[in-house]
Amino acid sequence: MKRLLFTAVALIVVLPLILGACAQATPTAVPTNPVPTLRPTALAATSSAPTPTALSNSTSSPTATRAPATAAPTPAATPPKPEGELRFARSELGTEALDPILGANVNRPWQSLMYDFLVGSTPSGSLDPNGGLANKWESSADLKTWTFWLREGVTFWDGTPVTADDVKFSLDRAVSKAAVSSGSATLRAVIDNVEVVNPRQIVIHLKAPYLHLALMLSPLGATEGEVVSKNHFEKVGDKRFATEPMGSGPYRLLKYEAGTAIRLEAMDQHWRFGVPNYKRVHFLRIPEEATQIAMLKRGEVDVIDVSRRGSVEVQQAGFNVFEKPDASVVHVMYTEQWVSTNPLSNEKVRKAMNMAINRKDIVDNILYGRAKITGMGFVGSWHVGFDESAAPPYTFDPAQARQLLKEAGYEKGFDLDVYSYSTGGFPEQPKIMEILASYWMAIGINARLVPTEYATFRKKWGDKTVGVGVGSLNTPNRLVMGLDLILGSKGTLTVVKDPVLDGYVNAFTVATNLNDANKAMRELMAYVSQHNILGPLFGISDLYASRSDIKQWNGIANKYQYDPYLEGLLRR
Amino acid sequence: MQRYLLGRFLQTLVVLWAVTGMVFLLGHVTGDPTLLALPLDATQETKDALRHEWGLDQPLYQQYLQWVGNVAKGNLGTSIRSRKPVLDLVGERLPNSMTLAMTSMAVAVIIGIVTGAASALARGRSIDILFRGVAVLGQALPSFWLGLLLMMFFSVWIPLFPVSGAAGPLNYVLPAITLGWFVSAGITRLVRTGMIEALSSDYVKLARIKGVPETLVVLKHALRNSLIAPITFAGVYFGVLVGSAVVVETIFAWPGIGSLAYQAILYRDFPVMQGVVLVIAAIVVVTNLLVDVLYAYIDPRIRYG
Repeated sequence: MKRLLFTAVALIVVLPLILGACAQATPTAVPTNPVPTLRPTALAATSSAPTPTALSNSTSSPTATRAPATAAPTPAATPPKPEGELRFARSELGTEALDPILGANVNRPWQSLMYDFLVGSTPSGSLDPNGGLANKWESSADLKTWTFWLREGVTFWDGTPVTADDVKFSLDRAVSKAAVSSGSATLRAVIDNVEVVNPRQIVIHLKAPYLHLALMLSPLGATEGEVVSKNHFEKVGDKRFATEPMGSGPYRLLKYEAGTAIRLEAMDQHWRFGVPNYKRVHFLRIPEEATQIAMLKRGEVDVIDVSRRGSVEVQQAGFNVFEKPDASVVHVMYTEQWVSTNPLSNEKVRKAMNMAINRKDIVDNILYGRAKITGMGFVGSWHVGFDESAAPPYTFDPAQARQLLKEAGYEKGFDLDVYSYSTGGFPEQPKIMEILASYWMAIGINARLVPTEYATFRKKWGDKTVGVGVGSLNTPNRLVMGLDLILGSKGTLTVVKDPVLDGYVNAFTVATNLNDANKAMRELMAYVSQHNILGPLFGISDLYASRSDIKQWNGIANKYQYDPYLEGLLRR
Repeated sequence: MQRYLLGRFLQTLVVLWAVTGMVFLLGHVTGDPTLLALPLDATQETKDALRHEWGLDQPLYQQYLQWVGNVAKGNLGTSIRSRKPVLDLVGERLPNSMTLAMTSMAVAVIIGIVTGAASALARGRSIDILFRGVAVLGQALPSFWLGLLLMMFFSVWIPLFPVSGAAGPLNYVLPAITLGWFVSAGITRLVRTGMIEALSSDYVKLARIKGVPETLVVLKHALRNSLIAPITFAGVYFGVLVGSAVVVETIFAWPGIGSLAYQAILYRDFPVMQGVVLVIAAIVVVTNLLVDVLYAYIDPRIRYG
């Protein structure tokens, strides 16, 4: 009897634990009509590289401050005010930089709400004279002198006007040695000085012609185009400005909780936004995806970033999933190709390794279809001049791969270290490296998986001590890359030293018109593909899940690095 | 007692120096924070400038001595990542960890003592088997799994408690149970063992013979004398709960010092790493000292000095 009682009690305690671990959770509030995955109805992405608008925009006169989005009120009507909160859970808060020059593009989601850019753009990849502080710009014929005219009536959060002095101050900071933002190195190399002509006009003098300056100072570039308040900086000083910034964007910083949250509060009215939808926006750091999904189900957050795998669960639970396609590019790096004793210096070996990978299998089964196979690594489909036909994807042909290894003199294979780590926004990375190692083992290479941290591999990579090893890189898709970083002989993280490739990289960098830039890019891509310099894999999508009543996210398929374009939810 | 305390204080300083020195060295040899703070295309000039700004271009011993000197003045440095003073960061997070640790410990002690005593009194019976089984489960179940399970049951399926954060009293329940169950398991077993030993001792037999009520025998004589080992266990684990609840803090997005330390290690934020280790080490050492002093109160046979 006692045994029976004990068994019954034990079952009552243990069984729910087991069932709970196996069963799928149901949401607390399930819509009666489950909402399918929605694609954005407006501002859809195009597959070809964007053509930036003409070097000078067509606006003939400065544009007045943008009128509010709402209809003109009757004398008795009260203008709408932002209300409510949008809570966005993310697995990381980038480097938590609030100052445009102190962090990479991973900080764009909140910075793009806190600041206005000098040059405006549309999410689809065009420059826009209506979207930035400059309503007009033009360059000299030799592309060395750029003039920007600023719109009237824009103020910082404290009500002080945005002037040319603030723009000059911001640009000077962006190219200073203290700047560690994504595009600062590129701009430091090209910008000579910034001149204030009058409170509404600045001139940027370049050291050399640079075709893409306007693009780099827009949301299509990095964060260097974000304008900060010079007066406020001088008042609070350098150290305090890092956590007490001042911008002119539609949202001001409400509170910064290091490692936990970045909280913003809407201005009642903004020249570009009109009246924002939500009074407050909270970026919450929730590292564990299961927790994020539980919070979404419980209504504690409104939007989460979700992995490819997690998107399946939230969709089944009736929440909406929005996709930003081709947000980043994943490729394998065959490092130190100039070392003649390294098997990876042999083109046939690299080609064999590329052909041994079943990319479709990985996309279907690991990435749940949320990726697109690509034939070009490091550079994504948004890049100026990107031409898919110049670098077609590799076919999966293990037999051919073995043959190539034999022709290269490695019939018996060779030892290869496969470094496995995770970089931000791509939790599947270690698993994919493990799978790649198995593909390479199948063609006779003795692939040894080396689980490590990205920081550790990055050091070896920079020090050129990887040896016979490969790593992987997940780079954000963008319109203009610093191509010499990985592909130039003098690049700090270069994988190859090839003077022919250097020529193509240089040709793109110094191109003075789009035709030349596009041509140089096509030739570069073709060369990289023909010589198997990189191990291209996929362009992967960023996914976001939202509560079920958010049915549309304008501009989600945008061409901004690391930026989900929350504007699409926050603008009326 | 004063000599004892002075000796323990000096020991504390040695321990703190050894721990922080080790963390300093290990942290610096495992990676360069500039690699993670800078974009891929940062020039060598930018890297050198940043290393100089952060003092990383100085010899290691000089960096360490500088840090020690600053600590002596109450300055734990500035976070490389957030640009906030480390003291501010620790000050924001430590109360969250302390309150969670205290709540978890309270849960653990209450459950542990009650179940341990009940187990001892019902030795060999079904209650004893059940509570010992629960204790084993508590030590065997991985905390991340338990936390996720509790979250699923009591936040999503039956929405009684919030999933994350430290906003109010309800936020403490699930993390405290997750943390506390593991510790309660150890306390249960120790109380049970101690109680069984005490209940079979001569002084308890004498008390019973003298007609002392059983409740008093159990609570005043047996239980009190069986608390020394559980107190040591709880004291040691309090420090662990404060500083090492990384998994639970991650699961429940609890803004505590454990997740701060983990992030600091991940991003090679050396000033935060060292500052947090110093604070956690100090808490552990002080907690152990308090436990030792408490001994003397519980067991008059123990004297120091």
